[in-house]
Amino acid sequence: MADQDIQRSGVAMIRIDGSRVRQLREGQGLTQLYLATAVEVTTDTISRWENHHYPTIKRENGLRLAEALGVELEEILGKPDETAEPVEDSPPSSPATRVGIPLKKYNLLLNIGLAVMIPVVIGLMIWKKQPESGEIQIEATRSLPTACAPGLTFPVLITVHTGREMVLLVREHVPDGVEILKTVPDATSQADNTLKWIRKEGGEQLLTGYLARSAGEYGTQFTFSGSIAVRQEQKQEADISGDNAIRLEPLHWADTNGDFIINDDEILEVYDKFGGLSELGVDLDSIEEIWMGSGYRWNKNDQTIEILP
Amino acid sequence: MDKKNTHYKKTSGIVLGILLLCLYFSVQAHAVGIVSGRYLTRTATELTLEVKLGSPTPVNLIIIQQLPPGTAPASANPPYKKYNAKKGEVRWLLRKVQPGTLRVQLKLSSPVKPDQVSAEIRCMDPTTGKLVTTQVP
Repeated sequence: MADQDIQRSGVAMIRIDGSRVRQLREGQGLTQLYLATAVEVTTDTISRWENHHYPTIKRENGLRLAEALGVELEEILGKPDETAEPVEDSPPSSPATRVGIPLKKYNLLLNIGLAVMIPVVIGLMIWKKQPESGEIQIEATRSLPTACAPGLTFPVLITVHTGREMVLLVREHVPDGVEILKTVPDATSQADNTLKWIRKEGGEQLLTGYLARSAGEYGTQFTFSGSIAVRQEQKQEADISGDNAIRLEPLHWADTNGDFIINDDEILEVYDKFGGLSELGVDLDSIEEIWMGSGYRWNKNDQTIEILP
Repeated sequence: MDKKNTHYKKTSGIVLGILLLCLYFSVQAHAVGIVSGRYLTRTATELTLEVKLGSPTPVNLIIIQQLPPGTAPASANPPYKKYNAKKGEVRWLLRKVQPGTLRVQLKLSSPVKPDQVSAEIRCMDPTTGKLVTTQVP
């Protein structure tokens, strides 16, 4: 046996020069697959042999490797004084594995795992969102225009989702500089910039609204806040979410993209949002007029909207 | 092994692509379910557009009929709101529509070819709050 021969568990092992193997292979235009087939190992094994400097492999494999490369065994042996790196030879009958599991099974297990975990996680998220026993789920959203011309009346709508009949207290804090013109239904109290409604109605959705206007310089921003409260077995309170700020600009409040035109999207949004509270008296006709025309401009002196034909 | 990895990656990609397509078409199917339209009559001077309203029913609709520019409407039922001669667009704004079917009739002052006419129906999806546009070729 050559000096490089090593005995490992009774199997003759030799040390080869991985880079020499690669050099010989590439020099003859051979592929790793060709060598793997010839030696009856996997291409991963050939790759590991070539990438380790002086791997230790079975002598039998070394002979086959040399034969496949058309050279003598000595041609591919590593130098005697180099440190050997034992590299496991993987026979082709056992496919490349990842953490000891066959790749095909690994991917299958991964896919099954994901298919199970994703619905479980989603289910947990939904379950977590459910109100605890005895707790009522209340939610209130404010619809408020983003911008409006100073002095122009704009609507504010608070939509409360209850699902059942209950006594609700709706509280809305209106910032300084905003004047309240009308509330629907009539506010139970209106003092210190705070509107309060006590509502006792059922149904999926409760609408509360008011008309307001503000004065000031362009760019001034007004921030609104509010909450709803219900008292059943225990008091529950929730902030009113949704829009909470309006800015003074020379724009109609329905012109959400600020291009001085009321387009289809904008008029449908106005009708859909505020059509349900007709008692509020939102001037839908004039908005329709602007939509039918080619646009509008804000007359600062008269504080009116001029509709362009 | 690299080949097998590539194969599995390709398969996963295809499955994901199919799922995304299914999701896209289901959204489109939902939008189509809300409102649809077809021409019952499309002669040289008379158009009858039938609009079907599914569930959930949108509250308000905008219907736009596209005519050759300069083709003026002679009469309409229900009355249209807006006519743009330059664009050849006739618009209706229908509020608080009821579920079911409605018809929009339009008589033209000058003849047109049927393939020169089309329509568009716009509404807010009550479920998503997004604008939905349905074409009627």
